[in-house]
Amino acid sequence: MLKIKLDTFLSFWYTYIINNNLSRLAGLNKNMSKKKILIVENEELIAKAYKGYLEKLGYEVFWSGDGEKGLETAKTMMPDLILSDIAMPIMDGLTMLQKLRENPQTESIPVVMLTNMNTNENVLKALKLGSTHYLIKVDYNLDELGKKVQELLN
Amino acid sequence: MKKNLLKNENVRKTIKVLLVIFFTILFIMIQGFVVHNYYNASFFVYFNLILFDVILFFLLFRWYFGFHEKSVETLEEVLTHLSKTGEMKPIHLFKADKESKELARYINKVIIQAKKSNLSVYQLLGNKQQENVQLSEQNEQSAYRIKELQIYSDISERITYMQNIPAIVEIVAGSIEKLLTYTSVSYVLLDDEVLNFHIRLEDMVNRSYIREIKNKMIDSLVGLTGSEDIKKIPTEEIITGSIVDDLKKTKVGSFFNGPLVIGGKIVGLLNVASIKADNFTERQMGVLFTITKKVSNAVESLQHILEEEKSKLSAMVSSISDGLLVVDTHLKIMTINPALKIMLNLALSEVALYDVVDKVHGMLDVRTKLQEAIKLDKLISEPNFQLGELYLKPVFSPVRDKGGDIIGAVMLLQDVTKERDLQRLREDFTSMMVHELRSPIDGIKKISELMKVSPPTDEKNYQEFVQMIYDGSSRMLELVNDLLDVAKLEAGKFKVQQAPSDIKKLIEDRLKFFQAVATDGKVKLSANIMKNIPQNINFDYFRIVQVLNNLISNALKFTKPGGTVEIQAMLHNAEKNLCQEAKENGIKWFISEKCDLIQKLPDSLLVAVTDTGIGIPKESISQLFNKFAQFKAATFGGDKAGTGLGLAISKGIIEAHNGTISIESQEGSGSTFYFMIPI
Repeated sequence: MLKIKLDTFLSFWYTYIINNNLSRLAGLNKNMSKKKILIVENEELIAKAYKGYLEKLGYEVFWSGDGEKGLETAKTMMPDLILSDIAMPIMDGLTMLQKLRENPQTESIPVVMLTNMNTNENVLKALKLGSTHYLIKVDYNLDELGKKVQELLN
Repeated sequence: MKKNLLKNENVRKTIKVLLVIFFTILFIMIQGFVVHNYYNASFFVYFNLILFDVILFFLLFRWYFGFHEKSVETLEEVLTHLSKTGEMKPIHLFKADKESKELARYINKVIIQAKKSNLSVYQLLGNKQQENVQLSEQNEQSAYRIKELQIYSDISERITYMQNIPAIVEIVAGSIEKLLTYTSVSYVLLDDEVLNFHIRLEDMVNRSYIREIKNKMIDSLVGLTGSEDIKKIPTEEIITGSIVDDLKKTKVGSFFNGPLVIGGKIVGLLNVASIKADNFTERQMGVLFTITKKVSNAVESLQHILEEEKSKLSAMVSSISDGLLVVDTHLKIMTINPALKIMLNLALSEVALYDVVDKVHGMLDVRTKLQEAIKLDKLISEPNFQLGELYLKPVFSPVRDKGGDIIGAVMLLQDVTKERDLQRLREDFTSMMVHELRSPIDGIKKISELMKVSPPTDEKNYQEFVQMIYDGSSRMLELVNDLLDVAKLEAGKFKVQQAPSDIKKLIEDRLKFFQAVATDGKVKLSANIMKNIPQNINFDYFRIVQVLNNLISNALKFTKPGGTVEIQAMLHNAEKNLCQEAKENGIKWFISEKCDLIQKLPDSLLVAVTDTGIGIPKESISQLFNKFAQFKAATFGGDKAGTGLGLAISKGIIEAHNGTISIESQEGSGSTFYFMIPI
């Protein structure tokens, strides 16, 4: 009887442990299911606004101040979505986009250009280089942008 | 009766003779009397008396016959002399026959009458002809000669001032009429590209007559010049006078060709023709030849005038900086100025329209537009086009002579490259300006949106947001202020309010202001102010603060941790050498490198900001004060770079003080930004 009780207890205990672990595992997955967004923007003000808002929506947000840093962060963090400005020092958004597409690791990450430059040639260039969308910053409030991001990621 | 008697030449002559005889006798009597009564006659005395008589008689003789500078012997000479000089002195003939003397007398009468009535001799001669003055048959030739002279003078007077050749021909034709009968007067004249043939008909002729004349003239011309090519040149025909009647059977019976010579070269022929054979006597041909010569001279002088005018125009046209092309109605280039040749990259030697057309082929239809301007008689503006590095604006216009007739067209090419570049720069600047203002505004909007949705959870969060709003709006304000200053500078309405101010206080104040930033960046900030600087130098305190803010913040931005930024101030004496003064005052700066170049400055206050930063490459220095270049650089630099307009505004401020602002730099070592204000 003691043996049976021990077995039961042990099996219960193991199950409990495994369940806990399972739930923890499940929790980790849940954590992993939190989408990552990389914002590449040199204007601190706007970047912080976006970051704050998107984090509130439940995303994990990284911020890089220029194209070069953005490239590095994209390689290491492998975000689910990149929101990038075009006019930046050191390396601009379109060059970064080109380099992202050239790298097999990062070539399939969706990139949305988020800029105030609205010339046709820039739009065409960006689309040719492989950006998914081209949005004009001033046209989008934070909530509109949030909706768009949710659309893209779900 | 008595007066009339005196006017009669014969009477006057008789009186003269009588007087001479009388005075001669008188003198002889006196001499005889003197000798007889007062002197013992000696051979010597008599000889002198005789000599005296001879001289006296000679003088009397000269008086009788009139004093003449030139002695003429024949009527021919007389007439030649007259025609050459137009002199209206009475003629006297010594060895002439009776008939010539009679004619001479007649001419003298005319001359005297001409003098009295103030007409030309020839006009009178003409009139006299009509008055049926009786002349013997033998004098008809001479009379004829006079007629010739009349014609010459007529032609000479009238054609000298003729502005064009057809008019000359009209006059010649009209004058020849008096001399002989003819059917046509024509000329051929060689231009560079075309052979002008003009025939003036006195009677009706058929077309084959005209063709015959033309061909005979061209053949003659070919023969005279030895150039067969003349036959290939296109001819321009003009027919005036009587009409062409093809029903008439007219053949050229006789003709005379006289060469038109300009500058020693045969350029054409003057032709007088008749349907009658043997129409022209040798005499008449002689006259025609002389007439042709006169026409040549007239045409030559006409061409000289044209050449002169052309060279005046050329000089004017050469100095214009826009490209200019002038063509005549045949689209032959009359003038092309050096500016156009340079614009189109043509050789500076002779150029034909073909070359010009070739250069702008595809972008501008030169030929068509020139023709349009001529035919439609209006100003034509064509769209601007790019030729290499130049952006050109073409305009076509017809050209008129004094009479208002269109004689050609002109094409003007204006170089508007600079204007267009400037326009582009301005457009760029405006769009950059808009972008720079829009970004922080959008940023603040989004931050406030975030604050609405996600209110700050704690003090730190709250402070963070507020700081961001503050920074954003500060940046905007700074930009707007800078842009306003720049606008004022552009409009020339930038004014500084100069008042006695203390530069020492100003600098020390700035030192305090920037100390925190300097310490943050681990840069040593100090000042070296000369003690002899007075406290009441005239300048705009607020604006100089602005300048120093700009210079110091730049210095601090570009100096790495561990470096130094020093503000120096000293008085410069016009007499002394700047570097010497700096040495004496223990100032270390980068100006020492180029001290010799800074010369002839008046007494001034010099303020310099020297840093040990990264320095500025030589190529970039010229662009530093250029607002366009710097603004562009700043827009891509994000919010840390400032507006980029600071230096341009500082320059404006210093120049408004009649000062100079400049920079000396060594790449890798540092820079000195300095300005001088005259005191």
